Amino acid sequence: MKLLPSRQRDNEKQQLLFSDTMPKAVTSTNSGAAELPTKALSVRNICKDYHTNIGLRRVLDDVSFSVAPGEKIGVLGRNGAGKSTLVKIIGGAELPTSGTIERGLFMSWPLALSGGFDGNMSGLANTKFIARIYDKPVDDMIAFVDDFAELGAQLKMPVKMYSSGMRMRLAFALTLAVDFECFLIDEVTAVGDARFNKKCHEALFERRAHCAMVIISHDIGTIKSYCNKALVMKNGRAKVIEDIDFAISIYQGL
Amino acid sequence: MNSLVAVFGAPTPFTHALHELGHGMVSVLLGIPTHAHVNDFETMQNAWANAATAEGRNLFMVSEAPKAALSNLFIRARVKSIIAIEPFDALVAHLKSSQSLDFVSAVRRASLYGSLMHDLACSPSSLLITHQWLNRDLMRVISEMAEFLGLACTPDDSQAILTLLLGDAASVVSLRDYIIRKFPDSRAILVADRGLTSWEHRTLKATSHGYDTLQQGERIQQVEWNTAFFINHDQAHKSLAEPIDLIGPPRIVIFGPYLHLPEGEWEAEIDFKVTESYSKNELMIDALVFLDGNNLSNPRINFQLPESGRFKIHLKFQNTPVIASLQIRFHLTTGAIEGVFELSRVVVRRINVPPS
Repeated sequence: MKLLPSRQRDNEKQQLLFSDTMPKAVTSTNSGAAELPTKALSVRNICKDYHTNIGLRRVLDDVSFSVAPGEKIGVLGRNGAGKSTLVKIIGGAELPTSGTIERGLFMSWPLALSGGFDGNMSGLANTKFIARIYDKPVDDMIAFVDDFAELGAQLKMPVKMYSSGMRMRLAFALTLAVDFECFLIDEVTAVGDARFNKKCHEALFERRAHCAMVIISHDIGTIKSYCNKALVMKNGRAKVIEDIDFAISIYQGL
Repeated sequence: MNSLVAVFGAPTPFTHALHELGHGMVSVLLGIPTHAHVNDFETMQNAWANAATAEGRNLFMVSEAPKAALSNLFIRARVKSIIAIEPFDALVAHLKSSQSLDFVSAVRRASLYGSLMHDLACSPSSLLITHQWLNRDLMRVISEMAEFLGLACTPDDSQAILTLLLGDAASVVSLRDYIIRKFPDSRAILVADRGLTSWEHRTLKATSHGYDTLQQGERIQQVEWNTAFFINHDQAHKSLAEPIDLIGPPRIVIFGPYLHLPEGEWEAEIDFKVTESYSKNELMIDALVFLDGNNLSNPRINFQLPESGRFKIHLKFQNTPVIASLQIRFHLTTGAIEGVFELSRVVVRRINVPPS
């Protein structure tokens, strides 16, 4: 097997991971999906329907947007607007009913997501597992997680023994341990006490300021501080708005 | 008190000419009267008291904007009055040129005068003098006014009145001639195009039609408010000229037209078109009767905008008093990320005539 540079391998691996599960591309007619740089997260005409007891329910309706390298887009919307479904689809946890997603950036899983841990494995074992999946040097990743999560000897305990705070710190550290190009952030921008919270913010928004981010948050301050543009969602529909203050004014009236 | 002669009409050369003719007529036929400018009941009482103690004991009264109590007094007491009613477009043109008002403001002011004169113009004890009279011989105008008021007026009296007003009246044969001689600036308004632009004529046409029933002494029953009289809130309060892009925070998207109607119960029929409103935008339409900082009436309708199509809704409201300006306001009650709203037509119809 020919060895590829790490980043190229990451990208190829990710494309491979999604190639089996992605639906066939549909022809895009949305004018918002014009010529995009090839290296971008590109969401085009995504629709998502769920079958419910009261019939078919469209949760996402023709959603399109793109995120270029280093760009940060805030996703705003009331509860039930479709934000979390959008995150699941971008993250690959769910498939859209129609539409396409081109992950031209090396995408993270939702920041601090701990749902992927095996509770019977230690934090250390989970770290090794992630390192292997993402083809990262295991020792480097363990060193980073140990340093960032500040779990000490408890890193060797089964994750199911962790408190929710410890679990979050491990998950946060693991997300930052991989050199993602685009972070998917669903409400959580920091965990732990005030000191750890500050550490998370610095690690995410200062040391990774060059990374693209999709930030879903009800916190107007976070969106205003870090985002270049916003995707405002309402009843499954979405609109990209370049003027953050204007987007916030819409969101606050939804 | 011997006689009361009253001339009502918006402040235009046409009305002023009738003031002069009326005053001259009373002066010649009854003696120099006390002259009073009256718009409300209290001033009327004072003028009446003053005239009673004056030498001639006759009161010649003019009113440009009579309040309801004054109008009601004349109507209920069946006082014979002369009412100058001009075509709505002529009134707009005059207000625009003489008071340096923009077109829409002139329309608003004209609607106020029209509404203030409404009940008097529809009263059987009024003599309506309209532009139909412009080509009448001036002597005939004077004699008809005198006859209506029950004043004996011989041809010699009429001639004396003209001599009093004009000196040498040889070149003045019609009411039009008299107005132009006395008020040369009014020439443009007395011709067909009134000096308005073609856009102003088009915009005014349907609205004028509603107010012009007064020229026949008939009640205003229906008025179309051209959408140009409404205001687009998003474009620095400009007149509504195009469909509204709803994207933005909750807000009033359209308001206006600040026009006036006679008192009574009315219903606004509002036609609108919606496109691309896929995300359940909500609209509230209300009618606001607003006077001196107070909301006098504020009925409203809330509804979810359909995705697209043309729709018609009806909104009833009570209009009182006449001097309150009327607004129909279109509120977007939730933030919108898409949708285009086009106000197509607003027609207000009377649904109940107030008891006289």
